[in-house]
Amino acid sequence: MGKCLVLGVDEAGRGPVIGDMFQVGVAAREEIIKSIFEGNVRDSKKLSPRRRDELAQVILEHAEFVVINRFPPKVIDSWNLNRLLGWGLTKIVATVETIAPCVDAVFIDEIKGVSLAPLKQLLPGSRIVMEAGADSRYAVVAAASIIAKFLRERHVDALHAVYGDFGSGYPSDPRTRSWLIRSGSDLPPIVRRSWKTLKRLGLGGGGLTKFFKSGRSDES
Amino acid sequence: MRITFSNARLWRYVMASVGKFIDTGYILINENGLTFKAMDPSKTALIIFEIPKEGFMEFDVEGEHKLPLSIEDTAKILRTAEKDDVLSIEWSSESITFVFERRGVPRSFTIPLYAESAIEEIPELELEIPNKYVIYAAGLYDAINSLEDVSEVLAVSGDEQKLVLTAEGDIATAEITLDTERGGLEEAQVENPGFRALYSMEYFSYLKSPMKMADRSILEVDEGLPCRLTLEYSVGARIVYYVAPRVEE
Repeated sequence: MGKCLVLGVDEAGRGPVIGDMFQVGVAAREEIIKSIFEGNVRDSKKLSPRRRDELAQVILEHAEFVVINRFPPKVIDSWNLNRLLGWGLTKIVATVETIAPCVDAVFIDEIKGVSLAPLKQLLPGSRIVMEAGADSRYAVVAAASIIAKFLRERHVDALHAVYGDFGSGYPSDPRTRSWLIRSGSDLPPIVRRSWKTLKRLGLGGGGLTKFFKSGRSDES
Repeated sequence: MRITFSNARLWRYVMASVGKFIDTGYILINENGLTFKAMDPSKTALIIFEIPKEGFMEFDVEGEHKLPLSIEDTAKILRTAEKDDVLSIEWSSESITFVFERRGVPRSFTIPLYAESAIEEIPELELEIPNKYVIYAAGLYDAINSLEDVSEVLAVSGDEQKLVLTAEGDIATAEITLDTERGGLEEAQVENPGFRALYSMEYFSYLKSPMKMADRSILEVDEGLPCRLTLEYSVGARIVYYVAPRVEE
């Protein structure tokens, strides 16, 4: 069994309008991480929440290192998302390069517009692969995806306890939309204010509201 | 009081579509006919489903009645509607009953109504939209069906002869042109040629089933304005659907 590790990087909470985003790097021995998935690397999004939680525990037990970047809405609001993830990716790779004995390969789920040059400088002899759908192709990326999703879900649970049930936080979720509408202009700090969704929802002056006939309540 | 409509399946598809993004709505019934209205919580889309009195097989109504209801529950009931079912609706101040009848066998479902105060009034929209396209039968359904997986944004542009529907995704771009001469477009009345309007694709995807059933579709659209989509059916029934413009930065 070699000492070199493989590193997988993925994030969760990129699309929601509410809550933090988690970018995770999992560094592990390739044969061990592959054995966790028993040759069946599935996109973590397709796993039931229960199965995902079970796998997260197993991954945390068997990974050599797990590096986590946590980005709150305030940070997300002030960055271009892909640039933020690119910065986070370099930080994860630099951290693993410092603490791991050696890294054979880095597998990353695609981040658009991000250059791999800084990673190649950090790990000149390593294979570096960035692909769309890497989380359903490479066990170590699936592991990173599962941990990221696990962290995001625990985070959302905690926010529900404080701010009420806003659903998944995704703009397509009717519960999220209703919660945002109910919050009106008094949005708590867990909401990503720069998010276009807010404007699409009418909170930024969009929606049908400004086209309503004034002083009338119904057509009939 | 009771009203009877010959095509239960139209109701089924309308409620199933609306139920994908709206929880509650209300039916208004008066001597002129029936109107169902619902608006999504984000106020991005508003749907009005109208059937004039003449569109009903039976229309025994006095006065005006407002019936606020759960769209999810209504859609569940209407899911049982089959092709040859006739739909009758009866109501009281507290409940609404849907009766399906095929080959003389009635099936009856009753659900409670919400209190009127529990449902937000839906305001009237004041809109003059300068560009109007009349699309043949299921042409709009075919277009949305082809474009919806490519992008979450639907771009609509056009001139006096053609209507162009575009989906620009990260990887692919898809474009469908409906033309008055080459096909797909029955009529175009355009005051602002060269416009380009953007809408969220999902709000068109929700309405695919009613689009498919429509005899014809009328799309009124302009840059920065909500679009008004009118779907016309037999016996004078129609859906009027508004979608707010998408805000791009």
